[in-house]
Amino acid sequence: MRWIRRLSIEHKIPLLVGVVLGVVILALSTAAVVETRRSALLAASGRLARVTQQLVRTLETGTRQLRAQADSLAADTTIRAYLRSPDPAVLPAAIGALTYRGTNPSLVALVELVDRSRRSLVAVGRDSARILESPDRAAALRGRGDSTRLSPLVRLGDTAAYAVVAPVAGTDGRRAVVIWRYLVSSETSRAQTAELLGPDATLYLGNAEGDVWTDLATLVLPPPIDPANAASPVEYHRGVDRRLGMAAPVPGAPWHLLLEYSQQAVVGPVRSFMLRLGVIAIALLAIGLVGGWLASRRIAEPLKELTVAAEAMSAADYSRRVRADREDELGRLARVFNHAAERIQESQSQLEEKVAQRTRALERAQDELVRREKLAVLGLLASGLSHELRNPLGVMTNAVYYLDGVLADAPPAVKRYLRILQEQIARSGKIVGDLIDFVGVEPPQRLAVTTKVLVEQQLERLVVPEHIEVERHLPPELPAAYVDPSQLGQVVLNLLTNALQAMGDTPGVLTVRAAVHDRNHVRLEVGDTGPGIPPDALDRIFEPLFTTKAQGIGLGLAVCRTLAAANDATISVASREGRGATFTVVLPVYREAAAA
Amino acid sequence: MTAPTGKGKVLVVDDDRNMVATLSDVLQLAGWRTQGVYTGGEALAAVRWTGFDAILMDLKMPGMDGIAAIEAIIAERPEARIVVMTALAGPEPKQAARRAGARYVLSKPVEPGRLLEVLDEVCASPGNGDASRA
Repeated sequence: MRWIRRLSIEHKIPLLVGVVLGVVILALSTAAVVETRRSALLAASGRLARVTQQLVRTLETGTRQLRAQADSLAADTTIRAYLRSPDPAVLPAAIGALTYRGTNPSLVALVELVDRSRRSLVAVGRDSARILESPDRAAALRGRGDSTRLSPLVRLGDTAAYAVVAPVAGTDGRRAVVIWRYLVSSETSRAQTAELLGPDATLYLGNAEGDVWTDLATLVLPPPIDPANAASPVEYHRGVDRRLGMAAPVPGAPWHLLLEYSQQAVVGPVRSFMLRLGVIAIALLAIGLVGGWLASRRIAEPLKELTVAAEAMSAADYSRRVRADREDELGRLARVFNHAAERIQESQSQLEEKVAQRTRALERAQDELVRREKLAVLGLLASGLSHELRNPLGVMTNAVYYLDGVLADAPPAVKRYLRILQEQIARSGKIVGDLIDFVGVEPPQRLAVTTKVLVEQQLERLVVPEHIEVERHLPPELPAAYVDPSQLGQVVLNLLTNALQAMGDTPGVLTVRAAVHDRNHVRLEVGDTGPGIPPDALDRIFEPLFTTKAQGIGLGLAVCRTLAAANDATISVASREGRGATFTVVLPVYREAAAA
Repeated sequence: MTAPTGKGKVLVVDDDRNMVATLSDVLQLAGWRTQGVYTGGEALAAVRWTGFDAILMDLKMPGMDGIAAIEAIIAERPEARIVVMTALAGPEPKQAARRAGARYVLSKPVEPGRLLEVLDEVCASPGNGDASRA
């Protein structure tokens, strides 16, 4: 029964409803069928008894009439006269008298006069030969002859027949009139009987001894019960059919009647009742199952939804909510669940936010650490490298200077190459100088210096190409900055050089603007109209060894920041791709107290 | 090479032989007489034997380094005009050289024109410029 425990509630409830309904329907139906069958049998038995009584009375009347008929024949003067003197001349008259003239002449087989030993004296009728040669004739006529009586049934062909024996008066019972009749009901009487008994009943008549029985049409097999013991309705089998039957002795004749109903006819209505009951039961069961299923769905659906949401929650999905539009316990459960989920989600997101914050802080710290480590390594590298490079550069400088001095009359090409050598050596020297500056080995010598002077000194050192326009906004009345002029000069020179390089051969504008930043700072902006800086490069542009140029080792801006930081200044950049870039240096303002 | 006369004698001290050679050539072109040595010890020995108007001294050298050599030279000839040319980065070695008695400290690479100016300036000041005496 483990499968029942594993079954979903959605199926358990309809199953339970179905089983309960099925049991109830089965019990009620069984009770109803048994009771109906019982009452049907009871009704049939009552009817059987009434009809049997009625038949007995009808037969009693019938036998009395038969006897009276025979008596009147026995009293006929012509017949008596013939018996007194059996004169052949009287014979025709006697035959005339014996000739049956009543109703249903086909039922009368023979009318005869018999003597004491039952020999036939005169016989009138269609079937005289069959009767007179019948082996049963003697047995039928045996018995006392002092009163009119009906004989037991005899076989006559495939029908039953009987004799009505009436003693002729005045013969001391030595002579008797015998009327042989077929026990066959006519069409009309059969219809009457059917009307009386109903279409499902059959009437049998037979000898009490049980040897000859007829259904009033032909001979039939004797009944399987003793009619003497069937004075009240009994059930029995005839062949394979179940029957309900009742027997009674026929008054005035040595016969019994047996009235039989087929059980099927009796309980037929019960069968159709059962059929209807079955249909109703199936309909009820179906309604119950569907109702149970609907009800269980109403219960199981919210539960299922809750289960799915709870499972999602255990898988760290806190966004699931369930419908909470019901007012019952399930609705309350859903609301409580939603509330709990909301709070969990809230605290979860707070937690996540905190974790993210911590992670960002950690990453920043990590980045800073990496940057410092990078700087430290770079510092070592720079000082070692610069020392090693400065000597050969010095030697080359000397050599070129010397050559320039001694080759005063050299061809122009040689002079040009000497110039190129000088430039390249100077450029190399600049790189080495940048490295040294970046390592930050020189302590700033801070003075009061105006931004105007700071910028213009550097602009003088530059050769600005003709396609670049320089816009200067350098108000002379701005407060002086308190910085090392040579270090900040180098910063400005770097920014100006970068701006010119960014614009390249395209015509553009180089803007230099100074302004008050706040109470303690002035601001210097260097802007260009070049291609701008890609967003992903913006964050890293001040990092050492980061470069977007084909030439250069990526120290220029790193040096700018180092030098700016050494002078309490900051440097930042704003740029949109395709819209140029603007570098802003914020410088501390000179104060008497700060200088002191 | 015919060096113009009239200027004094300069001792060039550097472990880089090419540096000594090129500096000497540049100085001679400008009219100085020069002697080149490659270690601090050699410099001290040279100073003991010969008078120089100026001494160009490198700092980082094997054996006796520049600072030690300056101190030793100043100890024997306090008026010696010593000009330091160094490739070392950072302020510390320069300050140490000044404390030891160097008149000038230049960062390599030194522009030759600037060096000649410095030499002229240094030799205009009083010192043990007894090269003529030697």
